[in-house]
Amino acid sequence: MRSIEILEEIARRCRVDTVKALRCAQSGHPGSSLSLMDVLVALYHGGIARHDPENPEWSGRDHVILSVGHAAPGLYSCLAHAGYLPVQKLAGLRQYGTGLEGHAKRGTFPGVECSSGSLGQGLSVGVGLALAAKLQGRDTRVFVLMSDGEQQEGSVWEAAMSAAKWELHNLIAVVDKNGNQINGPTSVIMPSLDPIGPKYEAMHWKARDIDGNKMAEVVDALNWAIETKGPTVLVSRSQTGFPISFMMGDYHWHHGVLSEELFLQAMADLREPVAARKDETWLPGYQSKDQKELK
Amino acid sequence: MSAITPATDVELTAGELVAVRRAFGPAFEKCSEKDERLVAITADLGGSVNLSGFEERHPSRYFNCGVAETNMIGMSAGFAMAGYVPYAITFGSFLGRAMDHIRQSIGHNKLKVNVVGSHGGISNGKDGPSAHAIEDIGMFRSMPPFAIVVVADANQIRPAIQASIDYPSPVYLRLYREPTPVFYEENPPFEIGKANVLRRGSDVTLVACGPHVGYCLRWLEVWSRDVSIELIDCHTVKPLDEELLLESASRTGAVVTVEDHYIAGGLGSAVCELLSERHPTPVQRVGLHGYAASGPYYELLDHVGIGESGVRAGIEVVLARKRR
Repeated sequence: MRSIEILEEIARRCRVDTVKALRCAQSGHPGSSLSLMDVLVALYHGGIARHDPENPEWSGRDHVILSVGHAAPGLYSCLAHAGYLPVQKLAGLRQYGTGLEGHAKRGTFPGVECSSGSLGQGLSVGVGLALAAKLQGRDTRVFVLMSDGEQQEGSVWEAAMSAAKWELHNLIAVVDKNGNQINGPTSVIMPSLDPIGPKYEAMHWKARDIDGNKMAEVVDALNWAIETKGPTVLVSRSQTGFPISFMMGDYHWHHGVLSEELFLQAMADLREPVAARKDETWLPGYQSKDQKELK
Repeated sequence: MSAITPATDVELTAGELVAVRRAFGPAFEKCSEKDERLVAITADLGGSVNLSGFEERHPSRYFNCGVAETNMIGMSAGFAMAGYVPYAITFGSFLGRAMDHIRQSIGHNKLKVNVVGSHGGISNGKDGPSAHAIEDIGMFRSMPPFAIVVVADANQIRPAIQASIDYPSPVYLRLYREPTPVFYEENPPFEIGKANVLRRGSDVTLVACGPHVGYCLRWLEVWSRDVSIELIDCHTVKPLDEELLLESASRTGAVVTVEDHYIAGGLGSAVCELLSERHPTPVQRVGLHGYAASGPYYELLDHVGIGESGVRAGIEVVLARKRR
């Protein structure tokens, strides 16, 4: 088991390469990619989800469904750092033929389980997968990662209702509650969305609120969800664009383009040394000689 | 003065009548006995397609997700990911709300999920337009991976299900509510994408799908006194049996399409696309020109222009255009 400090450092590196990839793409969604990163890293690097980068289709794996499809750059970076693809490939984000689709797409990037982008669909797919695993007698767990704005989709609640009907103890949902969506703060766009946890509890789920940008809390909560007879949901309070100073709390960074100046500020916020002018240090996967390999 | 003798005295409800949707459940049960990958996922309409027998015999493979069509589709996608061949089952009229999930969760994921839309066209006559499915073929024609099979009678349902299991892409199966004429023998030969020529003729080609194939067979007994009609059961609207249709159209020089569907987007549109690109031929489409209303099914056919007089008028119009 990796220490929390190591996981935090992996999350920092995954964020660095996410931001570098987004700069290369000159488009994309930094807000959710960064707010969700601690959950992604706990799952793929923290020993929570069973998976094998050498064999992405391994039948014994757990399933991670990124329902909040616009967080794909974060998922790609996390998967690349886990060994699914060379990290340098992240530079091809949103370019034709690279497989790094703007929103997650099954079959284009190893480890991506489910296509998303149109919100509110992943939980239903997760219910089907979890129910199928139960029918097959497999102990597979299914993690479904959603956003808070996504909870406005009615189909989420169709799925939530049915998960409890079939007592899907193997289904774990995470709502990345960064409080922002494309046109404004979630509390303004849909004030009655809060509280989220009790809505799931009313549909017979077990719910827990956590600080989604505190690695120790994320790891602890995911382990609780695995051990708890569910379905379980973690309402994961997070910051849009965490920990980039100019992004946090600002819905405009749901998506956006990084100027060179802002890119440098983002790297400074992430404590990542890069050259003042564009060179190879600005590219995903660049490793300085003094960067230690993490075990 | 009509050139073709009207077949208005022909009784569509005489002889053996079986509802295609009633035949679905037992046929699905038969197919699933040999194949444990089959699961049924329904938005609370399993009873309407007679799945109670399947539910009793295979309770672990029958899932009623409640009145929740989008969840039905998403769940089916999850089952397909796990290696099952799921059938997502509801009324064709209610699939519209799930099209985005069909596009992404099935289509983009490249999954094999077969979707069953029962109560096709206006076959759920008395329930009215909310329960009429007149847009479904058009919707699925615009979904890249989907094949579309419109079942013509109760005996065609089992081979259609069987063919849909191993077909390489997802299949949309359209069923009908009211009892309709049975005209195929039991378990007729069936191949997705291969249309059946039921009557040979030389003046005009009638391309039909669904129970209208059976109606046309009966009407033809009278019409054929005046005109030589070729009748094709085009059970697969997508992919079309292009070579068979082109050969027939080029021989007769006139085509009428007949379907219980909105005039745009269905079988008629598909046939026109094919012929206009590869063998321009006079075509007359027979279908609905708008929403219907509540009413007994067999009466409604005439009201919305897809009864005997509507189809006959289509033939006359196209023959006149052919002669010009």
